[in-house]
Amino acid sequence: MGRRAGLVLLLAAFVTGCSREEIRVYRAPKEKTAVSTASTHEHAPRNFPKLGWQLPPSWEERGPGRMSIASFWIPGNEGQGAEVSVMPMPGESASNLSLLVNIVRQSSGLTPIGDQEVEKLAETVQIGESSARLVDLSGATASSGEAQTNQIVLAVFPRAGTTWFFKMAGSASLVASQKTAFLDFLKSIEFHEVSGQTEVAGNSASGTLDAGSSASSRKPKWEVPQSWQEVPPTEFLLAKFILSGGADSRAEVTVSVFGGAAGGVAGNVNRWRKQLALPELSESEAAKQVSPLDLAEGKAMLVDMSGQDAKTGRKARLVGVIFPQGGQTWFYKLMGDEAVAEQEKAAFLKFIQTARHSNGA
Amino acid sequence: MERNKIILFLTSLKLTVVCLSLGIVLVFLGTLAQVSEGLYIAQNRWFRSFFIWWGPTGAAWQIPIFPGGYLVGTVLVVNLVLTHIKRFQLTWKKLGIHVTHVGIILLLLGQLATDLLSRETQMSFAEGESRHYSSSSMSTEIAFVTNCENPDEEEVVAIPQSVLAEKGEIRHEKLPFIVRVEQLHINSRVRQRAPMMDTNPPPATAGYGPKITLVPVPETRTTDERNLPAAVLELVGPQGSLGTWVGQVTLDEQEVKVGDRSWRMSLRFEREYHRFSVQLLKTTHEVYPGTRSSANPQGIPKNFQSRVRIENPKTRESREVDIYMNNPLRYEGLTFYQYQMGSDELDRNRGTSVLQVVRNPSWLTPYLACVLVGGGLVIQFMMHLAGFIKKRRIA
Repeated sequence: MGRRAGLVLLLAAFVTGCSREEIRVYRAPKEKTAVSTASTHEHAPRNFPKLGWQLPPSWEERGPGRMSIASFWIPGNEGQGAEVSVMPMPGESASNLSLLVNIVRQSSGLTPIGDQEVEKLAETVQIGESSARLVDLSGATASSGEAQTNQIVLAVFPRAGTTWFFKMAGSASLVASQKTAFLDFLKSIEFHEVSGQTEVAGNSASGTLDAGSSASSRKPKWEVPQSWQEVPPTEFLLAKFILSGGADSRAEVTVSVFGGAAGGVAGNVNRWRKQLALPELSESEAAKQVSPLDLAEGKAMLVDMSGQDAKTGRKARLVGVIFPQGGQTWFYKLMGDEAVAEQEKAAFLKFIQTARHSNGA
Repeated sequence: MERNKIILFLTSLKLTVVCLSLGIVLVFLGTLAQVSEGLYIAQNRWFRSFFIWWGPTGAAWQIPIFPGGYLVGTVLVVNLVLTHIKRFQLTWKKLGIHVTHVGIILLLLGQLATDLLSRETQMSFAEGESRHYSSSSMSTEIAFVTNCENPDEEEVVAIPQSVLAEKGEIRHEKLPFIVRVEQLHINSRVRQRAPMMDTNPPPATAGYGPKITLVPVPETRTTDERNLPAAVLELVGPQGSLGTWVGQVTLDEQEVKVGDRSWRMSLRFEREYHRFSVQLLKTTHEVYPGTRSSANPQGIPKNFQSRVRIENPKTRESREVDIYMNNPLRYEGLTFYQYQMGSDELDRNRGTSVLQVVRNPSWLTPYLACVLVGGGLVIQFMMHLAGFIKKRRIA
């Protein structure tokens, strides 16, 4: 009888106890950013050339990041520093320097600036043996009267179907003192075409954009109202919908996402005010324009403003929602004729409520 | 006398009928429970248990209210085996019944083995990418990764979530620091700190800690959402604290330096490494014509297909295989099923694919059991038919 009881206990222990997990130690092959050269591919992934460079003194190599194929750290005083990153982007869209500069400014907490101001700030520099455009964003920031603590220097270089961004960002004094070193670094850049597997080693780097970045910027799941018509989004938008109000009245809903605080609340309220031809507000005044909005995944901010469409001159209303989530900031904008905006506002807010932004879904 | 009663009870046909009836009710209730409890919790509570426990919300006690899947299955197997032994007759006439019973017992034991031994992971990649590993969709781990003497390899110390859940201090001979678990959240969101919104202190002092806000959210139980666990850990080296660190599955690896060695820390979905690599060559995503609309821009899927290349350095194997619905790849004890398909957000023309990777050592048992049950029934019917025809001829 005792033996049988023992057997039952052993069986019970087997059934219930085998899920106990232990700390595992193992060797794993180093991950490489592999790129296919298979001819069976209809859409071969972009294979960026290998870069070579001369590393300026005191710069530390950091390896590739989410969007960059190489990055460097320049240590400064009291824990401050500056980061240099090299980012390739498919397509030669750099011809629109103004748009790109403003995207970078927004993602770094700066307000947008106009085309002429961008041109004033641009200068020609050398990347390897070719010339490229470099923008020093500190000038524009200083002229807007804001306190200058951070500075960004951005070189934009379209080459063989790819736009290359070389960005130095960090504390203003350090970026200013390192600008010469940055220009020397740009001059030392060499592009070597490669195929097959790529690797990051020594003072060179190549590869594809990290797949992790695609997961973090994935289009959310949402329920689109039936009357909305989805149209292909333009560059830098995640989704775009046309809302027709009959006759020639219409509005549109756009969704975009940027890393980080993407310009902050005041910066974005003022960006939207500019689209409505409204005067810029101070940070505290802009904050008053914002009301809290509870979403299923957290707190968002709602802005509702009326003015004139800066492009068409027609009366327009803008309902915007800013939602910081998962290290990114989501922007939902309903803008168009006042009547259509009024009619669609409830559906717009309901649409945002249905959106699920979590990365793991 | 007592012993005879027990044997009578365990070998009774009534017990078989009761067990089968309980099984039907259990499957019905367990399936309904998946709506409110979610697939995985309901499966564990109703089928992977000896009893279904219930207690008032907030109460510290619970009572068993229904037999669980393990209990019903175990009693049914015992009943079947004992009945078979008790009524066993070594005669050709009973061959069909013996074979059928062995088939049913094999089916029940095979399902138990599947339940205990099978493991499901996922392999996700974009066209052109190669993977040596697949990841769990449920379990997470804190991984500390460092270089080793072989430049092509790295050493990993992986602490499973269940060990983190015990909280307290974790020491390991391979780690030059103690890991103190300060917080563990089953589901969470992280975001960059927004100046106007985040006035609370940051969740940790080192790595991404000072730059982000960690928001614990309720555990999700739906099958189309994933829990994103997070942990706040204090690392204590020989010279004292190395600060507090936050790990969450959406955050990248963070560098922890101890002396002249550096470790990369991350909280990630548990990985299972394989002795071979799988490279995604091409994805084919076909939808039924005319099913794309503004309400359903994706259309109704017709075919998800991944063309992959298996590279096995040990066997020097390098071959291309197509994986699509009802055509999984069986390789090295694993079965690769086509699971999900999409496109890379940065390059819309670049397809992505997720393969479900199942390790099930007892995958053959249901097939074998069905052959035995079918064969046994055929033998039994044929014997009856032969006897019947023989009797008719005599008459």
